[in-house]
Amino acid sequence: MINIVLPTGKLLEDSMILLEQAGLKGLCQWAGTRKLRITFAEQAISVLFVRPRDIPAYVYFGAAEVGIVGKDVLWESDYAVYELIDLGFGRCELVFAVPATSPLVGAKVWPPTLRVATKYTRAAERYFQTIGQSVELVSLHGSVELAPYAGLCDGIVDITQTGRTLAENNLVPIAKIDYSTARLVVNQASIRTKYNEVWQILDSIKAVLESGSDDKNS
Amino acid sequence: MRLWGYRYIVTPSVELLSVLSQGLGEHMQKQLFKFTDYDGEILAFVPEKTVQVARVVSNELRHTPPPFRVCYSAPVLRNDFNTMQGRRETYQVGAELIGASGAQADAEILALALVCLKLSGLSDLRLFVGHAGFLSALLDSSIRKEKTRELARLALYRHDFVQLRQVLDADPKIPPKEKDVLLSFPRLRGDITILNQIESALPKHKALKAINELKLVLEALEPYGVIDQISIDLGMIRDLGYYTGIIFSAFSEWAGVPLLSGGRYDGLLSKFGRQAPAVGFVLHPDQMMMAKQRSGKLEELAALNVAVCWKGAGFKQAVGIAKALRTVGVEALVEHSPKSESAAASMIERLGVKAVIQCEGVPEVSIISKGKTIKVPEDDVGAGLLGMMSR
Repeated sequence: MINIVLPTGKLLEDSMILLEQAGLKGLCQWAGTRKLRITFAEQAISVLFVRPRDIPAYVYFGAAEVGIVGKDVLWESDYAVYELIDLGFGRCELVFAVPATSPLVGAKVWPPTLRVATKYTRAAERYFQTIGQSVELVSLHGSVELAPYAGLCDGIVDITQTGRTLAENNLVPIAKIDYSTARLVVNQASIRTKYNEVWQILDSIKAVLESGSDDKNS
Repeated sequence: MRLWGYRYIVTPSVELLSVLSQGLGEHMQKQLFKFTDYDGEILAFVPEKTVQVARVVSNELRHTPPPFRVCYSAPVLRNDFNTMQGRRETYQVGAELIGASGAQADAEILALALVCLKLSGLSDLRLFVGHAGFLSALLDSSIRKEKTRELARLALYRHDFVQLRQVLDADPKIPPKEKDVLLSFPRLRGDITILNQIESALPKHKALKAINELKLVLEALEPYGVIDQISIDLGMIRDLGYYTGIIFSAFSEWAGVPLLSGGRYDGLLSKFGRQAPAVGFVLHPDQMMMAKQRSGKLEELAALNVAVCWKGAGFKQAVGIAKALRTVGVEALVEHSPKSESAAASMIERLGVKAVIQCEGVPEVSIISKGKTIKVPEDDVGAGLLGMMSR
């Protein structure tokens, strides 16, 4: 039996469509239900639904052999997993954004130390370290857009898909840091001990992705 | 391991940070529990044992000629909440063969690792063997720009093949053949045929030196009769600065992490002033227990043999019987307070013993086992026990 963990939330729908196309017939009929585990006896595969941030732990400890997870979650995770395929969907960008009225907009030089609020402390720390900018980070769990207006920080590091939420909150991105898409991850033991089963899944997913890109080209 | 000539070595649980930092990667150094010594020097609990073994061989044993075959079992401490599952301490059992190089030395360590794995009782364990030189040679020969090579190395080390593709795609000068091999790293495992495939894919390539070494190791493993428990794993990637030759890990389908890992590290000892090749491995008993639990094969603690209970004037008799039983190798405990016959019978369950002997200071004693009670003369306890056990 192979366990595949899928992230509840934004990436779920595309993940389910992808796996359905890759051979798990009928998976999508469960969309929107509260079922946590669906078993496909014929293929000996179980699909489990867990919170996005829990996916690396499931895969690292081998509770699930295969998982789909956003790169944004992997940035912040300690758990080592094999990251094998960029699935392409769920694209968003990690940006450094400040209030439109901030003197930082269009500034060539930033002050010696910035105060930055974010859910992505590791990715933010790595970025500011790479560009040599001293920074004080405030770790938040949600509504990060509010933080600069409450006087908590100069700006925020957050992901954005369309830029709308930033614009609605009168925030302007002044630096692109990285981008995130959904990734296929595999456990380091399973990729060896269940070589055939795991690669069969990976190959059928790759086949779906390749046929999809052909359609766009033609 | 002692049957193979490996001598048991005991090293302290704490070590100077300046010693540990010579052999540990940056990541591991961050996970140390540190404190200061009486003279202000920084000490740390050891997070693994190999560095200390290297220190002992290079310093204390510097006048002893090589080779050294040493083994150890010891607790180690690491400050890594997530992968240690909230624990700080774990146990490690390991073996090192120092001062010996070549295929025969590598084969010996691999065969010994397999013997240790077999003792674990997990039937599906396999040893996956790769070579650190294969990846190094590939990277060095195919990527000219130092910065690109470093990025590729980092992506490989993190097993981030999405990033690796981006890094390689960005440099048009990388030869396509080598690029294909690098990107297919997670797939490069199987039996000896995978070595032949690489030989034909990369003719006369520098990386073939590692392939040849692996072939020689497989040849040297032949007499041990263990080839069927070994897979070739050219896609194995480990701390590249540390390992110089073969690298290996054991996996079971019941565990998400390796249960044993090791490799050849010819560079470590010279950091302590004694140039010597070395190869070794470490076993992770905690992970093994967990894997056995998941596989449903964890045995319960072996039952104690016998509890001797007493009542009234029976204490002296009980001590005498226990003493006699111990001389013939039966584990026997004597209860500390008087017990009625029914209380004595309940000891079977409470103490997890196979039988209870009840002494009341009279010539006949009772033996209680498997729900039955028999009375035998004091001197026939041994025979009575045997009779009841074999039924």
